[in-house]
Amino acid sequence: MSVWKRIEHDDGTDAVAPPVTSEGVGRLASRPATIATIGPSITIEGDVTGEEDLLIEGRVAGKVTLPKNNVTVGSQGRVRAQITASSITVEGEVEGDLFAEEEVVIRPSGTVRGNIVASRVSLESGCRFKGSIDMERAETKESARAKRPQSVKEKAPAADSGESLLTPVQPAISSTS
Amino acid sequence: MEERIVTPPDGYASPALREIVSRLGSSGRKVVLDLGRPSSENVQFFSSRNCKLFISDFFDCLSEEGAVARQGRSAFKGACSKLLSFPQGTTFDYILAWDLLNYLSMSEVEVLTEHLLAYCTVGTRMMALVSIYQRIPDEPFRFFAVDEERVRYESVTLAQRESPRHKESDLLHGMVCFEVETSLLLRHGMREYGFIVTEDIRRCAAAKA
Repeated sequence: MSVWKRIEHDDGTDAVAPPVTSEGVGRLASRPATIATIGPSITIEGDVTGEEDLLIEGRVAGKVTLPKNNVTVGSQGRVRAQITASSITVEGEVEGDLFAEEEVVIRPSGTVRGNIVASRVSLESGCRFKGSIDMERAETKESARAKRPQSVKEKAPAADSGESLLTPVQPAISSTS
Repeated sequence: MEERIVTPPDGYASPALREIVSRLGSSGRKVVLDLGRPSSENVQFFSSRNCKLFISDFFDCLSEEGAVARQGRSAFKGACSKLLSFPQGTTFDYILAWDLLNYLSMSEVEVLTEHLLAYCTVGTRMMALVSIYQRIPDEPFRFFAVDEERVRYESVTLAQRESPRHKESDLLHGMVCFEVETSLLLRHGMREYGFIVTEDIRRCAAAKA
């Protein structure tokens, strides 16, 4: 379930919105149907969770948690939030920590102030980044998975096992080595 | 005749990087502070060698603070506190200053290194390049660790400015607790220093006071 507490439009008007699911987020016709979009005129204060890929072109303050999906902060996106996702691409601005099971990509137009924990990190030429990068934890996780004996049955996907897909993966960042 | 800084296409042999890399992987994970601009190459290079990397992009962040951040020691000290603030308990094993010192006055070098000492310990090493030319690019180069002993760099601007041409004696006087471990004059007009913190930081601070 996706919950956000307040929607603030660019014209300054506010509206308290009831909890809504990510299906309630608008979609761009030019994008694949599975990508939800937070449009440029939308401001969200609160947590965003869900089970589909997300494109953020608006403003988000809070937490974005889509551990099985891809999150893109578009060139107009302004995010002040911790983002947890399978992979994260930043073309706009993010102030907050990024946790990705697979990859974090900061495009040349992207700016990130925060810490990154991910298996792969790509900082494209011209991007702005300030913070720490921790690839060990994610790599350790992946190598442990690779080393697991064949006979051990892979855990079924959360959707099949009935577990919540919304459980965030949030490894803490250690302050020292 | 105008002095020109020529970038070797395959980089240059860096004793300081070689010294750092030779110590990576031994005795656990290392913590590296990169004061330069972010690059995937450096992230990959150090992350694959069991390092946790902090990137501060100090020059660009300082520029964003405006001229006021560089009006006197106190203002610059405030900027360092704001831009180079790390989690409590963070201790860096290596600091990559690249050519940042060329863009700071000697007084600013003193303040910066004094601030960084709070995150150093005996044995912390710092790599820095100091220009011997009168003119340098208007902004720091972008540096990349090519392999275990080579560094490549590229200019981001054609504009130039005066170089402070810091002298080694001035650097050592201003950089309390640091000593020169390696020093090599490179063909492209920069001297590469490998500095090392050799003394107990509290004793240094007390001696200075």
